[in-house]
Amino acid sequence: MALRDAAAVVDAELRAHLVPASQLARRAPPAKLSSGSRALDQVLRGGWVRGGINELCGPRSSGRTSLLYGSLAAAMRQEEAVALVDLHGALDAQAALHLGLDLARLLWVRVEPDQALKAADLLLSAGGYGLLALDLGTKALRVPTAAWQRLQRAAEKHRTALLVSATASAAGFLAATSVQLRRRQVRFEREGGPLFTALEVQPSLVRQRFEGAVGDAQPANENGPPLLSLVPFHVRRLA
Amino acid sequence: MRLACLFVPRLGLQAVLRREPPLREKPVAIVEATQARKARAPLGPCTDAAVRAGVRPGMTAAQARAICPDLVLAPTTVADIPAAEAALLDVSFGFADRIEREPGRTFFEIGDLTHLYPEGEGALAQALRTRAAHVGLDVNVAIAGSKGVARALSRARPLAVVPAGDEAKALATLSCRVLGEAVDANTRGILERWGVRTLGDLAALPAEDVTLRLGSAGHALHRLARGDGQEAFCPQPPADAVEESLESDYPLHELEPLSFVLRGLLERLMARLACRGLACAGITLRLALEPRGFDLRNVPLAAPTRESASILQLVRLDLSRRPPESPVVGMTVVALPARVRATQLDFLRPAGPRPDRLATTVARIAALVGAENVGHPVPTTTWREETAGMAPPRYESSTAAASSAFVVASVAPPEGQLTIRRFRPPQEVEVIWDRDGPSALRHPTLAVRILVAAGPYRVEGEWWQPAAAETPPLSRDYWDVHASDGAIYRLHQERCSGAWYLDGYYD
Repeated sequence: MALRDAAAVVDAELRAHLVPASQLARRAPPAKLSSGSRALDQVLRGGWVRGGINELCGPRSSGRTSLLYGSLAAAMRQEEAVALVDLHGALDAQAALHLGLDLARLLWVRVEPDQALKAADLLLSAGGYGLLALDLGTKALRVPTAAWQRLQRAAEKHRTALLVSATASAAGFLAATSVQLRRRQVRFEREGGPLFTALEVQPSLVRQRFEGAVGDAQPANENGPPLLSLVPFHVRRLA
Repeated sequence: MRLACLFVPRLGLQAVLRREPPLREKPVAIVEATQARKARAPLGPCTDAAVRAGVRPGMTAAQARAICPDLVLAPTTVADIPAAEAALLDVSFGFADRIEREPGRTFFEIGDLTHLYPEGEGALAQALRTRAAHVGLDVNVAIAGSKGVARALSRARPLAVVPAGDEAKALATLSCRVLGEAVDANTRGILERWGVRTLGDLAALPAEDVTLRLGSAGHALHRLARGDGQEAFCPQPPADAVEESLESDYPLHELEPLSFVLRGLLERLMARLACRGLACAGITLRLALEPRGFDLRNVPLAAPTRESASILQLVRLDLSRRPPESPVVGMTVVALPARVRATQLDFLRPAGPRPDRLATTVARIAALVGAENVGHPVPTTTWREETAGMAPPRYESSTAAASSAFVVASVAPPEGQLTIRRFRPPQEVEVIWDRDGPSALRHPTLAVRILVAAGPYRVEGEWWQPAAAETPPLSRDYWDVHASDGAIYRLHQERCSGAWYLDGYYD
């Protein structure tokens, strides 16, 4: 009997300290970093999540690399420190210049598949980076969840947006944001011989961790997912 | 003039304890390194724990062990005492820039330091003791109006502050032994025969009679006993570099034990630099090798730092890249002092990575991926598109870098530009050609039909350079092709050989 009374007292005291899930305060929206593209920012509802893993997925020629470099350039315009961990060194410096990257402020690390995550981890742990891009190209890396968890914690600690570019989602449930890119149209100018003039891609948000799950079918805005028209840098230069 | 004197009692013992901090609480006696293994080795100074156990300096090791079985016999090395004295000097330089050195002792003028310690000279003396404790030294501090008085008091008491005019009173009760080496054996014997035990006894004697019997030395002693010392203060300039040394009892073959020892040396160095308000701008490591020879290496630092962990990491990387040729039996670490770089942060701009930490990170990444794979991309001045230029990384703070690039970077380029992903090196492919141009691509990992082909775009160059056998002249036809897998590839055909290469794809 005494035990039951004591349990009732403890229960009452505990209940005073417990907050039902229905009354939990809403989590503050995470800080965002612009992607440099209005259309993509619209899809992302503001930009890439700071302090989390962001994924940009798509097959070859889906505009993934252009949007990745565009995000780096946008972060540079906001005077953030940025770094690029580049699998096999696929960066084209001349093209990157046209996309607005200030190459003198970009730390570029060329890695092999087994070094990519380690290099990213070291850079994240150094702290101070606004955006760290991890470009995995078309290589499907087998990475244990624990490694992504480690990267996610490091990004969260230093409030760095880790942007992973891969053919398919790599970080899985640990990603704060995941954008899937699809090729919609490839345009060739026919007059005077064919000339590759534009690539149209459609980004869609497949995951947004902090603002509720988002399905592919759910449009990012009322008018449907926007189309991004990407023009080869040398063609735009000619124009 | 008010002078502070810092004195390290039992300097040899403290130098060893500074090297081996875990021994501080244990019964420890010092022995000569050459006699460390002999049972009849005479003991030097002992720790308080050893004295409490009955061990006395001058006993043999066997006698002391019989009394105190736990006694640790710590051998002194050549490097211990200079390192401890240098540390004492650094503590002094933290408070004044004009220091006079004596073995195991420093003097400096306290001047207007009392403005920093408004509680008085007692607080300053206590601060000096505390600062010395940070570098592993337990010092006696005396503040007085003359060097001789401060020296005598520092030998007698851990903390002594003598107000101006009270010198004679403060010295009166001190034994004549505190004069130490200032009194020769003959004079000491004469004073004992006279029955002079304390400085007060000496001061009470008539000055003329003491001078008549002991000469000028006796006159100086008598004046000192009366608190009227006349020794001049002669400061010396500080050393350019700060160094710590250590000799190992046994040869070190591997990196781990070597870095364990280096960690202690670096931590002591950084503590000494911190005393002087300085940081380390570079490290020189001198390793004594077995059986003879030295390994000298410089480890540059990107930015002045006092983080011993970061410096150790850089030293480890250097050692792992280029290991010493033979086992290490001694090491000296020399730190180049520099002012700490002050960075004015901006309210509106992100701070960016810390230059010193970034330097360490880049060094670690360079060890992982190779130094040629870390840096800044540089556009090359060649028509060979596959060439990638890489400049060494810069470590300036992002704010400084941003301000220099602000005008350029703040102009946004037009949105929606498409870049190309390069295959480095370009991959050789088989191209099937029909009457309209290229119709299919074949590669071990790729077999696609070509839906649309745009080209050729001819590039010719380097004709002004002398022809080299290994690099044929640049003459290529470039094509942009839309393949059946949906990708848009860029490929070229070498006009000399007719071979096709895949440069990359638009992405």
